[in-house]
Amino acid sequence: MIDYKLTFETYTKNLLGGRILGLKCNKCSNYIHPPRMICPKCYSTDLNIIEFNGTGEINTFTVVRVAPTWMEDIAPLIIAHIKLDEGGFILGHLSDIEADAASLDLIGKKVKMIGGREVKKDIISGVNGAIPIFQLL
Amino acid sequence: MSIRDVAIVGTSMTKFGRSNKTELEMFAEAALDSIYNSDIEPKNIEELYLGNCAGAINEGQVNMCAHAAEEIGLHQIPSTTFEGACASSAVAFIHAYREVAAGYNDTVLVAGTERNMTLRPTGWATRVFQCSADQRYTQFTGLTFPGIFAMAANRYMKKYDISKEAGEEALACVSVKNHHNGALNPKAHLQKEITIDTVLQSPKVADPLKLYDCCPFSDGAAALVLTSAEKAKKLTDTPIYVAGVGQSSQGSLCTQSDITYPIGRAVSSKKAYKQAKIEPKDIDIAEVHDCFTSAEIIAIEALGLFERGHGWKAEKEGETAVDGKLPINTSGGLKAKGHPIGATGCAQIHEIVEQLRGDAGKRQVNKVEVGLADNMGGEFGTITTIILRR
Repeated sequence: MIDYKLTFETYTKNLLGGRILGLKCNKCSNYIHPPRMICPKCYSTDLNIIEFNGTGEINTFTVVRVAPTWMEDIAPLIIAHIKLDEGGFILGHLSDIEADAASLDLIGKKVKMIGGREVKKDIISGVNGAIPIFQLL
Repeated sequence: MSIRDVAIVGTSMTKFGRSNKTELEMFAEAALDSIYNSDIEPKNIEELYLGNCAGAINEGQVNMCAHAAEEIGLHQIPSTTFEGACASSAVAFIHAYREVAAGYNDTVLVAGTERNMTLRPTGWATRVFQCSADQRYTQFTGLTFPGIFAMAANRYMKKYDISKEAGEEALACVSVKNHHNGALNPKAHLQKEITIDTVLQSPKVADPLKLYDCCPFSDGAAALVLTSAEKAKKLTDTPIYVAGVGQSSQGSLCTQSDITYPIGRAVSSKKAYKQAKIEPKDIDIAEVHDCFTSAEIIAIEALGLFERGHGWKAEKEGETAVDGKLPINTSGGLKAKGHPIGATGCAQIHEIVEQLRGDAGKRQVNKVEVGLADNMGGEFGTITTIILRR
């Protein structure tokens, strides 16, 4: 059996340390994020864990005003779908924008991850996780 | 592949909305009604395919399929629960169809049931809906389902250079149209007309979506009986045939490069069109997955029913109205008919069957020969296309 290379546990620990981990395919050089078992382009399982540089471009965004029950106290949440410079996408919070100032002009803007915010004991799964936090460059 | 023709001979749905009945109880009502209006008895049903999404979380009920069969006297038949988030009962339908088409079964029951509304507050329901997104890389961000379709709306507006004002007005038009249709549907959760201002002035949920851009949390069940075409002809003068089906899957939002055009929906619908030997232009009517107003525009484009980048204009110009060029969501859609997750797939098929039979009352469309039901679960994760004909 081939070992699952980059687990959620390892990914989350690193996110809390300010690092976005992903995978690089040794066969076709494709960068993979979020982590998966196999290269989605060439189907190779010969993958290496690498640290992404943490920068990307906002593909789209929203301001979540009605939040899930465990996040109601920190709403509104400005969440972006970010295309990472190496490849692949990530969801993260934008920390340096006011909710009412978020406009379509944000799309295409460059951002950098500044750290991870810990989420403790999710109400359904009981699992800990982390939210990547980004700022505009 | 040698398969035989399959037909729907009976359908039913409970009124959608708020219910004091459990998921099993609502299922039992819709299921028995669909069996009786097929002119058969429970003992004629050989297998049950049940769609349910969050019964385990909301009611603490797993293994719902077994209890469901016993409820309506389907003693010892095989019964299976299918879960594909909001597409749960459409997935159940496709599997039921395949087994009748292949000759493993002759007459089967497909149903869906869900109780979203009555059990817990909005924040909890919002969290439960999140469960169909990737637990590791989507859920922890707090991105809600309105949030996902708000992101798609923003990307759509940017991509096609539509101003925020024009875009939000087009979204509102979807809601106004679906509320109009819902007001003509006695089974709908929300039976009231609204205006563009009702939408634009409603509270923000996830920008640019407002409360009236979002479907309600609903309780309800729907059911249908499938049988071989041969048997169907003996049971009814109006069998509705399954012309083609398609199903596809996609990973999390972070694995998708263009959320304004979910490739999985194009793949699923192409498969269904091919089996039905038709093209999108041959579709007379469609029920699409309008969990949010933006979701309807994205769906009608990815299904090939409207040109990419033009869906928003079609909505604004009335092309999707009951008397328009291609009526979309004559039932009121998820927006007004309501969205009891696991029941939605079967309820969409119920509407297409009623329209094809000419039984849709005040919302009846003229000359309907071919209808399509598009159901979608999660962050474009599970997508189904079901094409029916007279």
